[in-house]
Amino acid sequence: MTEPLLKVESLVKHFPVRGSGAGRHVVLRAVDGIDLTVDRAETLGLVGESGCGKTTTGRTIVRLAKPTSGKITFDGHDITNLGQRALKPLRADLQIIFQDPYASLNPRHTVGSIVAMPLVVGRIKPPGGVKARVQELLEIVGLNPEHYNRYPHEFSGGQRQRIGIARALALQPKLIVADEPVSALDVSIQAQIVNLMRSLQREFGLAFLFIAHDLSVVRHFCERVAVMYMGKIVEVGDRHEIYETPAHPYTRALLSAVPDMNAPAGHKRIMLTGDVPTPIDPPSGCRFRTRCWKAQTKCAEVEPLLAKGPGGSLVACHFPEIGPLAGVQPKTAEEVAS
Amino acid sequence: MIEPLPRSVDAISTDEGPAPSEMVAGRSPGQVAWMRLRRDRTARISAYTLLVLFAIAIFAPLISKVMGIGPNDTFQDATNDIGMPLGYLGGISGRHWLGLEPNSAYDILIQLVYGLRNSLIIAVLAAIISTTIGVVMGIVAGYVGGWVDKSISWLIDFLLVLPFLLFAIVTLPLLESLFFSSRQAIPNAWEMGLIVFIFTVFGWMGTGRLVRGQVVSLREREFIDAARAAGAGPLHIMLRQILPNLWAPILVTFSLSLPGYVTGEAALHFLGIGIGGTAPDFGTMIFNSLGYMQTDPAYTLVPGLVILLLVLAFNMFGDSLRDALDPKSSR
Repeated sequence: MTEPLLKVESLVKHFPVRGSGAGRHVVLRAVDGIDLTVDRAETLGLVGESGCGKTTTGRTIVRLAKPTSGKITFDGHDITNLGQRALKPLRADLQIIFQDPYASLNPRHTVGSIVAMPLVVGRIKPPGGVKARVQELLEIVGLNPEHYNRYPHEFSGGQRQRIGIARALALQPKLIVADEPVSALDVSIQAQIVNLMRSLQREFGLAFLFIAHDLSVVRHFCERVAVMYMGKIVEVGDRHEIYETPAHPYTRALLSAVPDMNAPAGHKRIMLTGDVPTPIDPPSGCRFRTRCWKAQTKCAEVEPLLAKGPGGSLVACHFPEIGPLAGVQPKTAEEVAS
Repeated sequence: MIEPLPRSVDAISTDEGPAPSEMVAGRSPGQVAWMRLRRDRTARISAYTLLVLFAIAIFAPLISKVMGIGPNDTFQDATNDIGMPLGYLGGISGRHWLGLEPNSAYDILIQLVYGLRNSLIIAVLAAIISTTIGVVMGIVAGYVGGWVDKSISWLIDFLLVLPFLLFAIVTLPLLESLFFSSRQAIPNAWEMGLIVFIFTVFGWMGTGRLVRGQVVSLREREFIDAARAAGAGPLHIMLRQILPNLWAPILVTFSLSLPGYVTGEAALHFLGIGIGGTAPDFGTMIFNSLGYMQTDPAYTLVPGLVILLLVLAFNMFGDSLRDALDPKSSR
């Protein structure tokens, strides 16, 4: 088996918490030891509820944040502790798309200079000139190249996100970390953007780390899915394993929360009780045990590790669920076709 | 302003792409502000006033030549034996439009014209230099953070608590006596430079603090992360990504700091700080006129009115500029 494009091993990112007692070393455990791999041209979805560390994971992988510990290997290079200068040549292959299309474009720059920025910063002279390349990129993402001289405030959210995608594509990356790229958009626009990313992924052989909390979008876009809870990955597997035979109780709870038009009458949602514990002081053992309906004493004592579960996925649970998710739908025609 | 989305690839059927003339140029935020400014009547009136005053200041030597009166010419023959100007209203005549100064017998109009020139030179220089220093300090403090931010912020606090006038009263004569003996005449340019220097030292903190605050919030925006993810260095981020977003507050503080320097300069000379130069000056004129408040009120009134007009025009224009650049601030 060939080396994966991105390999993340026991990645940890802690943030120091201020205002705590003097001298006490209090940290917020945003990401607490996760392992991930993304193969070339593969799409991995990273899902979980707000505050579970998805975004921090993405930011740490593109090294906008420095990992506390762990190892990130990208395209054969260990980029865990590289300085910004040493990182620069690798930046071209590793790009990010941001969540908020209103904050991710410099309001004082024209669309042309926003998309050209990575080329200018990297001192890259594309054949035919920067302007031609930028207009080509605008066309690739479905924007009018004539909008080269316009400013971001003249565009809608979806168009802005296309500009952000064009900027990420400018350096022809191998991996794009998409940090909730559609969650700030209208539902009608979300599909357009996801379809755009899917066609780009096929056309250019891009790999995506797709961070989202919307499970239906992830199902539509990602071949593999990792579920995160409080800084840990609780389950990871192929799309059909996660969506059809989820093994971790948390995954089941997440999936049952997805509104489903075709759900049979009497379909019972799994209602999680209680709040998410604070990541400053996570529960011992399994972190999900405080909200899990299957929790037993073992869960508080021994932390479950990722292991092959009954549904084929890797699951971190002592008492994984078995069998298909109640009320699960057969594959849609679209998925069969893809 | 928002275009419908599907106006995409199909819009261009030819392979060459759009002709340059077809390029849709959007309005930049600056152009939008400029349009708003042009529609603002207060801005127009104050801008024209300022233009006239600046023109007078720039062409002061020309005016002096046309009138045939130099800034140091005296007209003792037009004053009586106790030094009061002959004629009504302080000696207003066809030759001396605003009359003569009592005692010294200078022509008031020419004194005002040169006073305006000196005042504006000092104010503009001080504003440019102090704004530049403030912007640089603010961007560095805000972007670099850490101990750099702490030391710059400390310096700002330190300079802000120093009483400016007391400091000026002590340092200006001290600095002058360092370079010139008491009998030497101090060149006008040197004294003006000294005042600009002291204004600069005490004038950049407001801008610095404002810019630092803006940068601290801009630094967390995602477009900065996008630049970093593309491998941009700190210089690119500070100059190309952050600075263009600061032009609005910089312009506003710049234009609102000018009247402060005009009055500050007049105040220093009114208090007699850093006297030595013989350059015509508003503050010195008003100080000299105080003794003639009853006998020749026009002498006090005229320089006072010019300062009022200048400062008012600057302030009105600065306010309009702020409204034009950031229409949300008035809501």
